[in-house]
Amino acid sequence: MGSYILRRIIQVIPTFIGITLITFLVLRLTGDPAAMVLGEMATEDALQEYRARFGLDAPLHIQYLRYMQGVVTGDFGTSLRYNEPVVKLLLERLPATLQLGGSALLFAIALGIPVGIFSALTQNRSLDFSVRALVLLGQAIPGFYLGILLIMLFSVQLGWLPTGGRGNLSHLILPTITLGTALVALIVRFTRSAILDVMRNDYIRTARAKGLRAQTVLFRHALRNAMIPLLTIIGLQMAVVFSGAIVTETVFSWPGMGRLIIQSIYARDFPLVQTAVLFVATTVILINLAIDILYVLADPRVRAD
Amino acid sequence: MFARFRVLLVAILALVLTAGCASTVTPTGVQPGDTENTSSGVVEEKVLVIGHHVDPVTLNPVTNTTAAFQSVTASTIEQLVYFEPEGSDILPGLAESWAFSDDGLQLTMNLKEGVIFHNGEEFNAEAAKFSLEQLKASPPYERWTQEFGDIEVVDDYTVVINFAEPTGFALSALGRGSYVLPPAYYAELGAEEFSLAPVGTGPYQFVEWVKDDHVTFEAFEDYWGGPPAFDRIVWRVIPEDAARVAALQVGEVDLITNVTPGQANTIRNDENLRLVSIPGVRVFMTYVDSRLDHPVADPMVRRAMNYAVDKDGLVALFDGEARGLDGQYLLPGIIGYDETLDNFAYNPEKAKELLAEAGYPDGFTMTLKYPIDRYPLDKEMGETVAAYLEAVGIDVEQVPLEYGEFRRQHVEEETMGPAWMWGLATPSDPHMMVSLFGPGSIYTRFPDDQRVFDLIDQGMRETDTATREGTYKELMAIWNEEPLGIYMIVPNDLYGMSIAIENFVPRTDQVVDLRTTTTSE
Amino acid sequence: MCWPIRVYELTKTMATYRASLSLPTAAEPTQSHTRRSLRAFFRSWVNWIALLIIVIGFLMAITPKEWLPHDPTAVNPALRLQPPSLFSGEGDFLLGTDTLGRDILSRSIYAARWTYLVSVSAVVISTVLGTMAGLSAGYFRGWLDTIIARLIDMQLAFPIVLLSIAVLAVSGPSLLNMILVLGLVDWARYARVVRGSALSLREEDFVDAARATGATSWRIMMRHILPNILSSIVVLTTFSTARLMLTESALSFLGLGVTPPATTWGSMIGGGRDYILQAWWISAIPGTLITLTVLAINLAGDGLRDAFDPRGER
Repeated sequence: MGSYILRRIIQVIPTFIGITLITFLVLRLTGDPAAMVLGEMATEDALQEYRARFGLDAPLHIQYLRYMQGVVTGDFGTSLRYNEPVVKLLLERLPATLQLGGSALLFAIALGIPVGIFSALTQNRSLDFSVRALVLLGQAIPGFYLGILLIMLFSVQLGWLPTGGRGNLSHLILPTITLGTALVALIVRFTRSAILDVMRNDYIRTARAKGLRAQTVLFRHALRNAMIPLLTIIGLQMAVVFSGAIVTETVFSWPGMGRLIIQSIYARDFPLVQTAVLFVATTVILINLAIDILYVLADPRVRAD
Repeated sequence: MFARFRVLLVAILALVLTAGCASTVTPTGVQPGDTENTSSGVVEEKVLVIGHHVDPVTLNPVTNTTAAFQSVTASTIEQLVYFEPEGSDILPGLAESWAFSDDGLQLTMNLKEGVIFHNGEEFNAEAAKFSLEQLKASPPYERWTQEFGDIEVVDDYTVVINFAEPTGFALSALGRGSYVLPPAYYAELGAEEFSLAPVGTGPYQFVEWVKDDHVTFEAFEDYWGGPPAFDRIVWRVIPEDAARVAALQVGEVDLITNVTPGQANTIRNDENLRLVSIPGVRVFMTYVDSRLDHPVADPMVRRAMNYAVDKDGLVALFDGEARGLDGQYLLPGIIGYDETLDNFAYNPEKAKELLAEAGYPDGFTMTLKYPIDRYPLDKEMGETVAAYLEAVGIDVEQVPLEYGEFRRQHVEEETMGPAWMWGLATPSDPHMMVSLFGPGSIYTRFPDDQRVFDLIDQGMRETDTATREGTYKELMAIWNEEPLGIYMIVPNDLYGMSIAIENFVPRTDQVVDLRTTTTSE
Repeated sequence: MCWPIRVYELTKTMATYRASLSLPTAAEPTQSHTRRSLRAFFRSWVNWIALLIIVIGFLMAITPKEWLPHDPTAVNPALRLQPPSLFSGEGDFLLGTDTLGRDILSRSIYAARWTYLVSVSAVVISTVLGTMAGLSAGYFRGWLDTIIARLIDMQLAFPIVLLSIAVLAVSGPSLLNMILVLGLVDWARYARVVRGSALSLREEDFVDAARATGATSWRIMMRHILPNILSSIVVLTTFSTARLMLTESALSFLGLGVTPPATTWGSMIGGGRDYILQAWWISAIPGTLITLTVLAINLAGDGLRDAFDPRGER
């Protein structure tokens, strides 16, 4: 088992190299940072000079090797747009994104799990359908649309909450709902499914047979067992949170990483995009790695031949 | 297991709360409530909050030409000379007067005395020289500063710029970028570090910049023009158009930039708000590559295309907040504009006739590329132009492109195809506008034409207004007969503000200069 | 908490995890099971409503352009931003006009065909691709599995915006390219789920039995493993269709949407984004359509999953 896990960890290395290579090539294929940074009025000479200064005119393999050399030594380069180290720029935005992502997850969990349980307990009754329809409705509205509607209602009409920006807790409410809504439906669906499933398991029946109160059975056993798959599912949604954050951060003027990444992609800020993609990829890969290892621990047959 | 989950929940909660608390410290000044909620005994602080559509990537105005970035520091870093807010005349800034030598090779500027920088440095000829040298060395300005030679200090308050050739547009170039920088401070920090803590001579000095969130300035009491009207100015970044208007409606901000045509009516209809409009300088055209073996290479076809597109229809897209081009690249009010030229008034019948005469009675096929999500109504303009061309029999294949990809294809000329629509913004100077189409420029997409290149060169050398005018009129006549493409429209720039804001002077060059702005509150 | 208990609990919970992805426990499905499931599906009125909405959308999609009240692509700036006559009682346009003076009603119906075409084709591509990749990886294991698993990891980590711009740069905007991008984005989700269940199904007794009778690998995968995961693939498919309808609108902002004059509900919403306050109908009407459709597809997916779940009590 130990050797499998070790092998699995070693396998992450080619994934990393693959991602850096693909990101690198895709970026070079898709744009000219010189044209974007220097603006419309730049002359041909100025563009050439700029490309030479930042080594953008070197052969691709040389550029890639330079980049990898930097990555290995922990030097992720300088943003072409901001002229600042990319790591500094990303770290500056990280707290805002963690805060928004964290509170959206919390909101989704706090709302999704009880609704999921409720929905499972009232399975297939009209109440179950109405609750699920409402939750799904939230998921079916495009994020920017929901965000603007919330601003119109709660900020402009009612005047209860600020329209955007990062400040005290009141600034957090609308972006949290906007980003969290997309996750709620998912959590409701999996909670419902997991609870239904667990309730049918033998040991729950045993527990019931032993005369434990339904509530105790639910919270002691069913919910507890549903937690891990739920956390796994939530973990897998990190990529969704990141992409949702782009829209939410833009609508609510939230100074986070999502906005930085999307703006950098639009501006062809190669070093910044490369590092940001590597960062998001690392998060996703580590979560996947953890899940794979959990799989093996759970079901040893999956492991070796 | 459940216990662990609880720990995780608590951890997330703690993160959310502490992050929330930590951040309350910084942007308290952002809250516009400050002006109203003054408790007794506290002196009322006047704060101007601006809702800006982009976050600047730099606060160093001399390293870029993006008006939206330069706006943020326009009341902090002043210029030697300015364009007049609406038009092409040059007004004094920190240079009080100037004169060209008879041969046009020297420009002598007399500087204002008694001006100091926020850090205590003194503004003098050395500072002016240093600033002009930064401008000269800046790649984005290269197009306009190529003729600039040595800069000499004559005495403490006189500086002379030498030119390699006589340059009629030199003052316009300075009007665009003669930012006055503190020599010692700038040299010590370098261009990049300066961007993080800019210092100038303006009425408002830099306090802090939280990227993608806000930039704060405070009054500079020793400003040469007297005490500023506001104690603080806060630029809040609100990228979403609807959210920006919402923030203005509820009073979170006092002024917003880049109001889109779709939002304008909301502001017009709000009695507490005012919509301010100014003719812009971004000239939207459908350019063609007439070097290609394609019908658009025929000037008659291009004239037909101009008749086919209804400029008034395009203006209507902007609810009237735009003006049509009059069959020429130059705008009314700019030297060389010729009102006698054919303005290609909408005439689809004539367009069809011309197409038939040119040998295309059944039209032809053409791709039309345009950037989307970049300028207000860019996609709508592209679709409308395509529809007008289809109506006279030209089969248009539309190719909307993300802006970066659009630019890449434009820079790599061969991938651009026969026609593309976009807008270029140049300062209101005829040379700066037409020199985009000089020899070797990436905007020159017609077969080399010595008449055109000679006229562009001639216009640059002339310093006398009357002769300049004749030269540019001649050039406009050529481009009217052999159009660069379809002459479309120039949208207005729109600002929204609270009615309490007074003396806001919008500028054609899209720079938001708040030095004179006051409030009635 | 001592180690053996944790492993026991993990075993339990991972089983639940897979179940929550609605992977059925190993059992050879039978025709009667399918029939019974479908009967169960149609017993619920919610599923009927969901199906009805989907069918109406489909009918909109096949309505010929000529039958529409107005030409959905005719631009006329003079008629722009007309409010819906349905509410105001004035004008020729039941649901109003957009920023270019085009009839929203005709356009909404016209957009249905592109919306459905794009999301359905993309789902087909990602389903086939993802299922094949996941099946082969899980069944053959070894180097093939290693490669596919790495590809899945990379795909899940790669930002879709970047991928879209790359495709745009290499081959330009077209309907086919967008469908390919959407298909490529989603295959990894299927592959991941299918691979997981193929990994454990190949160890089941009935697979061993088939192998013993000399069945080829292809036959085992198609006849014995695939039917077992089919219902979960169907469910994933419905959710994907819904999600891709929304993703498509995001892509149209990058120039990778259907190219004008074609349009989708997603790009109609995008076009009206700026006018939400002044002319709400431009975005609200396609917005309602897309919301209803996504809702219907999701509910149908839930219904299918419940109906096909062999453990379900009914």
